[in-house]
This record gives sequence, C-alpha cells and structure tokens, in this order.
Amino acid sequence: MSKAILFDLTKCTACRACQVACKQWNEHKGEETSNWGSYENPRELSGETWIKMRFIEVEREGKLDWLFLRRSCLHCEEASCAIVCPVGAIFKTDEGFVHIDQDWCIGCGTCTQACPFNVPHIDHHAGLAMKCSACTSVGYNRLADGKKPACVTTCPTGALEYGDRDELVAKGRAVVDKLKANGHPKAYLYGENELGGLHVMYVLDDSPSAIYGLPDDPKVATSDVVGKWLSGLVTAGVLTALPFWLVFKRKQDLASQSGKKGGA
Amino acid sequence: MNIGGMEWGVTLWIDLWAAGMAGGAFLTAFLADKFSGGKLKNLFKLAVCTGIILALIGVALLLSHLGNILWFWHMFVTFRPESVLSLGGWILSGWLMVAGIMLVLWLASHYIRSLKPLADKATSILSWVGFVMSILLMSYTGVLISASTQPFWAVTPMLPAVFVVSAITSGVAWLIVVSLIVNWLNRTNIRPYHWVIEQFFDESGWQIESSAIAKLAKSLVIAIIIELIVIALFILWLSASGSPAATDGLALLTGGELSLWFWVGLIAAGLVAPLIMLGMNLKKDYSTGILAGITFSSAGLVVLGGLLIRALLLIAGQA
Repeated sequence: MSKAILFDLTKCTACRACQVACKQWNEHKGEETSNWGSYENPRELSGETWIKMRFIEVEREGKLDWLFLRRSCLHCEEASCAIVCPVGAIFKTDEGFVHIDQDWCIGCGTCTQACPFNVPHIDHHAGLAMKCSACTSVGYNRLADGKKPACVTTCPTGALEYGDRDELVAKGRAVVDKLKANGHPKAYLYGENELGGLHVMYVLDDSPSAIYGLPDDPKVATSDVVGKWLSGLVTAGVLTALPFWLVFKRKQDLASQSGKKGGA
Repeated sequence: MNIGGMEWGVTLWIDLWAAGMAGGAFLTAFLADKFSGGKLKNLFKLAVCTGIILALIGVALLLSHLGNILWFWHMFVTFRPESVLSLGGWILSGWLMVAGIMLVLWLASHYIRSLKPLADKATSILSWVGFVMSILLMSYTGVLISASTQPFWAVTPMLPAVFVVSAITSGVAWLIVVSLIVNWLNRTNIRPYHWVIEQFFDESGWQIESSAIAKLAKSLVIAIIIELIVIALFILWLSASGSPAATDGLALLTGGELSLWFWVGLIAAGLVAPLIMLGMNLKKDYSTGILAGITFSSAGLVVLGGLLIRALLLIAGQA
C-alpha cells in the first residue's frame, strides 16, 4: 500500500520538534552553526540534518506574513536520485519512500546534483550520500514496527500526518478547497501530481514557486538526456571532423591531384 | 562563494579535463592519420600512449572524488545505462582497455617481429573501436554534468557540445605540446629517456614530422574558432532560457566573481591569444626555432584553457 506524509502549512507553528525528533531517532549530531539573520537553523540540509524548517517572510496585501515550510526529502515517485545513481544504491521501499542503501552507496555525489529539491547531501565523515528515509533505515525502521515516522509522531499540532497516500490526497484537497473559499485563491496541494506523485505532500496557501521557492514543474534530471547525448555525439561526429578534413585530407587530395597533373 | 564546499570540486574538474583530452587526442590523431593516408602512425602512437596516462589520471581522480573509495568496485558489478556516471565509468574503462591492448600489441610486435602483421591488423580494427569510444568519452563528460537539475547546466542541450569541442581543442593542443617535447628530447642526450624508448619502441617511432605539427597547429586554429562560436551559442541560449537560476549562473560567469577568469583567463589567454599567435604564422614552419616556442606556448595555453572552462562551468552551476 502506497504511504505518504502530508504537511499542512496552516497548522505548523515552526516549533521544530520534527527537526529534533529526526536527529534523536537517527542519532545525528547537532551542527555548529552561526547566526545569519534568520531563526532558521541550521541554514541548509546536510548529511547530519535530514529535516529543517524554512522561514519565509513575505508581504501580502500590505501585511507581513511569516510562513513556515518543511524542508526534507519529498520521496518522488519518479526519483531523479535513484535514476542517476551509478550503483543502484537508491531504491523505493514498498511504501513508496526513497531509500539510500548505506552499505552500497559509494559517495559519488551524483544524486546531490540530480535532485530537483536539492535534498541529498554527502556526509563527509561517512563518505556517503544521506537524506531522510522516512524512518526506514536499517536498524531504525519504525514503519516495519507499525510506527509512524518520528517527525510525524512528535508533531504537536497535527501539521504532519502519515497514512495511505490516497486518503491523504483527499484530505489535502479538502483543506486546499477550504483555503480557497477563505481568501487564498492560489492554495495548492503540492505533490499530488508532481514527478509522478510525491510521497511527502504540502498543503500550501499560496503559489509554490513565487512564495515557497518550489519548482512549478519539477523534472526528472534525465528527462532530456537523449537530446544531450545527441548534442555531444553530433558535435563530435560532424562539427569537429571539419578541421582535420580541411587540413589533412584536403591537402592530401590537392597534393595527389597536382602530382597526377605533373605526371601527365 | 564557497568553492571548497562544492560537492563537485577540483578533482572532478581535472578528471573531466584529463578524460576529455585523452579522447580528443585519440580522435585527433586517428582522423589525422586516416585523412593523410596512414602516414601519421607515430602521431597516433603518441596520442594513445599519452592518452593512457591522461585517462589513468582521470580514473584516479574520479576514484579519489568518491566519498567511499574502497567501494569503487560497486560501479563495476553494476551496469545502469540510465545513469550517465555508470555509463561513463564503463566507457572510460572500455577506452582504457582498447588503448591498453593497442599499446601491448605495439610492444609485442617490437620484440617479436613475426607478430607484426597480425598486430597491425588488430590495432587497425581496434583504432576504429577506440575512435567510437573517444567520441563517447568526450560526450559523456558533458552529458554527466548536464543530466542534472542545476538550471545552469541543464537548461540547454549545448553543454555537451561545449565539452566535446573543448575536449577536441585541448586534445589537438596536447598533441602539439607532447610532439614538440618528444622531438626536443630526441635531440638531447638524456640517457634514461633514450634507454626507455629503445626498450619499447624503435627510436625513429617517436619522431613527429614538423609538417605534421604544422598541420596540427592549423587544425587547432580552426578548432579554436569553432570553440569560440559554440561558447557564444551556449551563452546566447542560456540568456534566452528565461530561467532565473541559469541567468544568475551566467551573470556570475560573465559579469560577476568569475568574470576575470572567464574573459581574461579562458577567452583571452586560453583561446584568442593562441589563435592570434598561431594565425599570424600559418604559412611558416612551426617546429623549430622561435616559432616552436610560440607554437608550444600557444598550445600550452589552450590545454590550460581546457581545464579552466571545466572549472568555471562547474563552479557557476553550483554557486
């Protein structure tokens, strides 16, 4: 059965209990950080930080709004990281979550460049790519024990829910409809259809790209790879043979022609 | 800009440069030999031998880039054609195998003369395989970078074309540099060099004719002009892409922190200056006297420009 996590932004207070629960469950160290002018801390995801809350300040209709967005792996159905991994260390679990096999990853970093949400990071101590596994990591698998992911369990406001994906899609749509009826015409359920359907969905009260910095139409990294191979191969095969033909072949032909004329 | 913190840093710049240049040098020498009716076998041997060194440097750096170097072998028990890095690993290994077998056959036929006819036939077939592998090798370096979601790399299909043209330009320049070095070494009395050459090849096998170097220099002039055109098209495509992240990367490259390196280092010193220096002497003998020095330094600048363009494109995509 396909599972998912639903993040309802309208219920989030940015208490960051999910960040702490994730660190605690996965036994990740805290990171040394410095103030960079925001309550957001740490500044970015890393091999040791798999969830963080983003704080967004935006002026809407003359009023300053302070918005919060969960930043973590969105567990794409069409996962670029899994496609580009050269050793097949990234795979999908039965529930639909994207998992990195830490015993097979070689730490090449290709997944870090392929993710449309910039989620996986190399942990330079372990030399491996790391990201949220929705609590399915070996030895830390809560789902196998019938539990919910640690972040969902700890969320005090119910902003995070875990369950069957179809049910959560229906729930998310209902909240979005309510938001639209209450003065948020651009409310949107992010992840219902993006990249074949995400397994972490967001209920947003405004435009995904303009306000929350999410890609409107995220694409799989290899979606146009055939065209890119052709670009390289055609350039190599046609364009660059020109200088050698002009200099080596043409001179050779001219030399043999003048030789024939001279001989005649 | 934290260049040291970028996931794809200096080891990958050099890996992509060395692997691309190995492919470019092979392709250059192969086409030069074929188009001149098989008269440039020495140049081809030089391309293969030095290309193997470059490719091995590429492999070593690719492995050192891995977070978990001892598990590199996972790549060679897995074949995933949808992953460009997996394909690239196999292409690089295949190219090295072909070049390595050719080298062994040349050595074997040097010691066992009766093997020569068979070795010549086999190397002729292998050279065609190596030619195809070289095209794949040069293309892979660009496709690897562009098969990502970083807009600066991914928004245009031109990036692999830029990498391929640069690999060939660097490959031609590399051949000029090593040809001039080898010809200079032949004129010296450095005993260890001559001893090594005598053990493995006929001494005459390493002399590269000055006419071949002159033709390579002319090819380099045309290749530089093509590279400048392809870079211009890449920039135009990026600026017309409408992607804010891609145009930010472009602004960084052409008008921001990287602009001095781009305009002075790459365009002026790495491409235009060699073009002018070589273009002014097109009708002259490139291989001796002061002109040899000009040819050597021009080609050397193009080789370094090949490294710089990869560094700049990788930094701009991750900044």
